[in-house]
Amino acid sequence: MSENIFFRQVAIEGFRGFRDRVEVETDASAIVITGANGTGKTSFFDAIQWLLLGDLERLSSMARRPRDDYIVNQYRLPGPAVVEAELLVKQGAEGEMPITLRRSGRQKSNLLEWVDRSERLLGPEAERRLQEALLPGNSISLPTALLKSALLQQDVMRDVLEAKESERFQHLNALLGLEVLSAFEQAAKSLAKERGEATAQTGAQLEALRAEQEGTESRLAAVRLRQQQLPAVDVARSRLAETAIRVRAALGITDDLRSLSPESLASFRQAIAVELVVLDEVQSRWPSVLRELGEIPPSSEDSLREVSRQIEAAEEAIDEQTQILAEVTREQNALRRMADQVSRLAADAVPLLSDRCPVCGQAIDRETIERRLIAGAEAPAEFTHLAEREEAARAEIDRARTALETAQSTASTIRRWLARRRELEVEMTRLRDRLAAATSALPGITFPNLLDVNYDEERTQSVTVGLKSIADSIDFYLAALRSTDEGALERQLLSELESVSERVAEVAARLELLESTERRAAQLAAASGEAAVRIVQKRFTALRPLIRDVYARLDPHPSFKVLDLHSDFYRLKGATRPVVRDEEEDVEADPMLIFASSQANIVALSYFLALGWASGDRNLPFVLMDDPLQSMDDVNVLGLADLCRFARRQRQLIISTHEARFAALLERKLASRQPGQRTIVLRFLGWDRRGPAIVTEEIPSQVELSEPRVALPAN
Amino acid sequence: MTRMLPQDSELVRTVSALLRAQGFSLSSLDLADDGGRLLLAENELFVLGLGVTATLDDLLALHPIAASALIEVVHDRAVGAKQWDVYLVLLTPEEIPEDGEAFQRLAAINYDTSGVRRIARAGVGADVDSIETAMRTFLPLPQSLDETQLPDPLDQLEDEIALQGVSGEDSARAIRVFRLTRSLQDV
Repeated sequence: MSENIFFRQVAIEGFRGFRDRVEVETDASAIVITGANGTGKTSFFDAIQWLLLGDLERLSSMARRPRDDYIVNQYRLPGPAVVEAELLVKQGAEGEMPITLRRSGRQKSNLLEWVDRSERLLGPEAERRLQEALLPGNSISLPTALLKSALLQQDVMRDVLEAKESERFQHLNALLGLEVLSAFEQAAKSLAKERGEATAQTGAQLEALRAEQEGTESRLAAVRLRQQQLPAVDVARSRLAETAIRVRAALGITDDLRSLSPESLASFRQAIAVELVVLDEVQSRWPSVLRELGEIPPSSEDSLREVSRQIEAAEEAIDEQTQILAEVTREQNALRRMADQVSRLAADAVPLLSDRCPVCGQAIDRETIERRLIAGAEAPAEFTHLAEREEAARAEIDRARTALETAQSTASTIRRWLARRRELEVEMTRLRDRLAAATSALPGITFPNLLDVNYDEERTQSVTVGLKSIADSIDFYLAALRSTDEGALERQLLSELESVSERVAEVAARLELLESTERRAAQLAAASGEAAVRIVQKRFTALRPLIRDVYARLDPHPSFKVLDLHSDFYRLKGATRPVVRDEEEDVEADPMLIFASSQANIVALSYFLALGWASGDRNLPFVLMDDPLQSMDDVNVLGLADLCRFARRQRQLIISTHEARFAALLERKLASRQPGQRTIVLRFLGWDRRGPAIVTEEIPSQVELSEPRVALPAN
Repeated sequence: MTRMLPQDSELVRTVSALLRAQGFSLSSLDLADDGGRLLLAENELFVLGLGVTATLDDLLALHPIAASALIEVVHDRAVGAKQWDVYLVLLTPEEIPEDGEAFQRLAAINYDTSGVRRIARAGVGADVDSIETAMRTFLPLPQSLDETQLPDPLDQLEDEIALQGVSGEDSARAIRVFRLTRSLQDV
């Protein structure tokens, strides 16, 4: 097994408790730091934090005066402080790259230097390179990774529990490799914000435009008020009023036309023009339509039915007589064929007659017999009868055909009438509709229906004249308005009003669209937050056994034996809070509220270790614990010591304690039992103005104990 | 005389199999006066004396006998620094309430670190989960998450967003654009 070594050596000079340069060997997978309080152990952890981050977060809020400097050793002011480390940075699956990292400077300004085999980087480039090397492909920042799951300091031990739930959620997200969810949620929120701003901006623009519209309308109203007070306009208005009174009866005027605005009057005037065109057409067409309609016999449909019956009867008579004629012709032909046969028989029989009758012996007259036979065969009476029937049938057919032609002609005439009547009715409907449409565009005018069968031309004429009078008066009035000095201003204002109204309509339409997209963007942002929480919870299911495992190894509480994390969506943010659970009684609680301080420390330690462990290669390759054993009882300490034996297998472990008893325990527990594994103890023996007095010892390997000594297989 | 579960009981067999799978060597130790046999298990980090009893009373009775025997054998075998890694593990399947006297007595054993460290657990079933929970101290930490085995978070996000009432078309488009640009500006 290869050693997990990141820090091989750390050198500190002029930094906090270290005045003189001290070089500390850390080339081991487990380093135990021991020493009484105040000997510089925490300064050592601070040095590593400052080297990596360039600041000490826990102290930054304590510097009250501008000249306070908590970085530089107080005997080396104004500095600079220097922390330097030789590191082994993993590259790919196998390789490791030796790095020298050096930070020098003060609290307010310092410089990082990165040196590897191929390059030397300074300042921001070195900081960037460090982040890439320690957290490759990981969006979690180096400060977050270090302070949340790689460096645990006693003073801020419970920060992991006291942090904001939303920050904890983000951290958990990153550790679980779900930063992409946060990135998406952030993008969705940005989108919603951007759309919201665009909507607000457009809303403000619309409000400004509406204010401008109202202002223009007010100015227009003021101009018009001044116009109304001019004598010429007053005369024109009076004339308009008088005209309206005069034609009131004919037109049924209900409104006071003087109260209409010039635009309304202009529209009204335009509608009158249309109405007059329609009335003109009405006057020219309606009487002739009525007249033509009156000329069409009213009972044409009945007549057409009667004539149709006659046609039918004539056609039936023709059919019947045609059949009779065919029958007669058949009979005549049959009679002719029979007569022909008899004649041929007689002609054949006569030559066979003898001169005397073989019975009575009388003489036989052949010529007489032949003539009688032929006459009998031709049957003239039958032929005559058939000829009479044929003649009668032909006469009937002729009569029926004559009747048919007459009836068909009549039917054709009636159909023309009916078609024309339909055309006239369509035209009447069209005229009525046009007049109704034109009249409806004239508000306040309610003259009675002009177009019925009792058309009153005089009344139509009266309406026409009335409308023309009104139109003239309006023209006169509008001309009077235009001719005043205010007319130009009015026209300008009208033009402005039209323009601003168009812009109002355009911006209002745009606002409606923006509001819709803003709603959808806001819905997406809210949904992505809640969705992220559910995905984190699902992913956390895989992490849960680990957290429970670590907590159970330290076992701080007799009843609350399970540590868990709850994630939910609170105040539009994902939030994660730790809870402890008594599964036997199904009771759950916030450990910070119910646990004693030492127990809460163990919860914090469990959370810290579990998250650091769970994130595997996504996290930093070391874990630093500055005196995590304070206030723990022996059983908890033993549990942590055993846990550390497994933890060093994954990450370089640096742990400190001020208690000699616990230090001895850690030294025993972390002694190497595997070939190639090293454990170093840094003994902080004391402190004077030069800095800590540190002795470095390597704990002898106990690899020989890896073979069983007690549980020996039976021979 | 304590009633220890026989070596072929399911609980003892499962414990043995689990320890063997974790690289422990196993043997046994006969206790005096027909007190039964302790299972001995050892790897490079730990030396365990394991006693499994039918009841808590049996466990309480076994404790002093087993502790003495284990201390003695460790002493006899000259284990050196490994003496600090010796644990007496006492398990019983009997369930006990966590607020009674029995629980207090069990807790007292766990807090007794004289001679050897003790881990005493009640309500231990014969299933692996239950045994792993009881023996957790001696087992490696679980594996960290293997991201390659997990579903793509953006695929999950698309489904989850749609469940929140965002139209399927909107959610699919948003995810598609985000995959390409890492932004939603063009949605």
